Amino acid sequence: MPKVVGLDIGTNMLVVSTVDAEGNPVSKMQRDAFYHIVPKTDVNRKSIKISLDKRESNYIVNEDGSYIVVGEDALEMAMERNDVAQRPMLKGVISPKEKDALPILKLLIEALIGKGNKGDKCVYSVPAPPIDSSFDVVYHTEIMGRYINKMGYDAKPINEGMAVALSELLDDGLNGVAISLGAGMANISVMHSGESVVNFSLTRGGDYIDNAVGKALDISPSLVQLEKESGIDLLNPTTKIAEAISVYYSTVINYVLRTVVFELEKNSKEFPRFREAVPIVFSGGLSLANGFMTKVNESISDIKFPMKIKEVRLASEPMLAVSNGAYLSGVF
Amino acid sequence: MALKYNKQIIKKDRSIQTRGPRDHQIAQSIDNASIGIISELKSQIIDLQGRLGKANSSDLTDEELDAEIINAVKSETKILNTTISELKDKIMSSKEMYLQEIESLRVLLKDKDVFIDQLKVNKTNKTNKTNKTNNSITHLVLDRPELEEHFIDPIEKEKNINLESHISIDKVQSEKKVLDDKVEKLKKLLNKK
Repeated sequence: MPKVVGLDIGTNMLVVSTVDAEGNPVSKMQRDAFYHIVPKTDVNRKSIKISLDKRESNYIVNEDGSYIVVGEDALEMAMERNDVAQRPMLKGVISPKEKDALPILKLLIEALIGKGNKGDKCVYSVPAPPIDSSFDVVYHTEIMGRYINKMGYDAKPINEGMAVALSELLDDGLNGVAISLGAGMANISVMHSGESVVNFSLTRGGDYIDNAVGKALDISPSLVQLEKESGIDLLNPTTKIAEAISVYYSTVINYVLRTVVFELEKNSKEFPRFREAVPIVFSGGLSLANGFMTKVNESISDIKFPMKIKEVRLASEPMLAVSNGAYLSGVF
Repeated sequence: MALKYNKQIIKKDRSIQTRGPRDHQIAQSIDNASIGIISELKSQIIDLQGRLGKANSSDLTDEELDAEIINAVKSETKILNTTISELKDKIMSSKEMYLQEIESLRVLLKDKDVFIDQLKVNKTNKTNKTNKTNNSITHLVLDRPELEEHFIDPIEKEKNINLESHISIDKVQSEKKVLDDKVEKLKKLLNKK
């Protein structure tokens, strides 16, 4: 039976949802980051290899003998060396600055989805066109599709917000607002009876918070990222960094919600009326922070939506919402 | 000239009505006509009874008469039921036909909306292009040639890069029921549409 794979190609994380041979759902995740280590001598090369194997790190050996550490360890090793890990993606699309990183991205994707056979399908997420930036997503969509096709799959793109809706708005008849808050972008899809009526992305997400806090406190954005991902409590920040992160979280949440309202009101003539109150669902890495939903509810109380809001909730599996939605769209 | 008969003779204690020969003649012709009608009707009844093959109702016992009536009612009801079910079938099939027509019209309407949207986008694009060149909106040219899009893979030329991958990623198993439920729900929603 042909395989179906849902792939979330995020700026910070690659996530896969599929089913195994027995039909059990399985997921895989890999941080979308790498760190280049160039050994100075042959002895150094061997010692680095031993160290990497001992740490059980994921790495790639370059043809010049250098090592490219990938995933979580890339971030940690960069921090250990007081350096910054590189990422093949920026603001949700292939980074124009990191074109050399594309083979690494390909290997990471291949390690996640494996080689495909005839009839296997891979639905991969792509961001909606950004409304606060001038780059386009067509090139990214095309190149990613080409790579996945070369891996033996029939590659099909799906809008990230739409994927969240497919995964999380099924009980609401595919009505509501689906928001994916990732590292590079916020992707928003407003659904009406299964149709995506408003689709856009904003280039503000986790990276914006890391950079803003880093600038404000004069520290490395990678350090902010680690602090942010170590289980931060947005309502009771205990350190200066946590305090700053909490402030910028509110900024991003407010910006996203106010832009949703602005876009809906801007398109109000073409916008269909919701007969019933609809939910707003949040997903993505940013939504994992403790106190996130309280912050959202605080923001939402000051904002007037052009439709009735039933509830504001977190996705059942915030990190898997996009890949699950992509998988579901591939099943049909 | 006709003779006049005194048709009312008044006595001391009573008044007597009489008839002349013409009156007698008229009365006799009426009697003959009614006899003719009655005998004609009788013969028609006998004829109809013969044709229906039924015995004269007066020949039947009460039970037989009841049974006859019940049978007649039953057969009529059966005929009526068959007619009603036939009509129902006809209505259902025409309803089905109309629903199909409505569905195809809906699809057409949707296509029309998509087409209108495309035209709007084209119009905007063309207008923007025209604006850029002339600083004013001029006539729209819908069949103007479009620039072909090419996507160049930045690593296509370097496809022989020898990279040795040491990546293994653990998989996490989730609950089967949750995914199956989602698949079922989506299936229902898609069928509904």
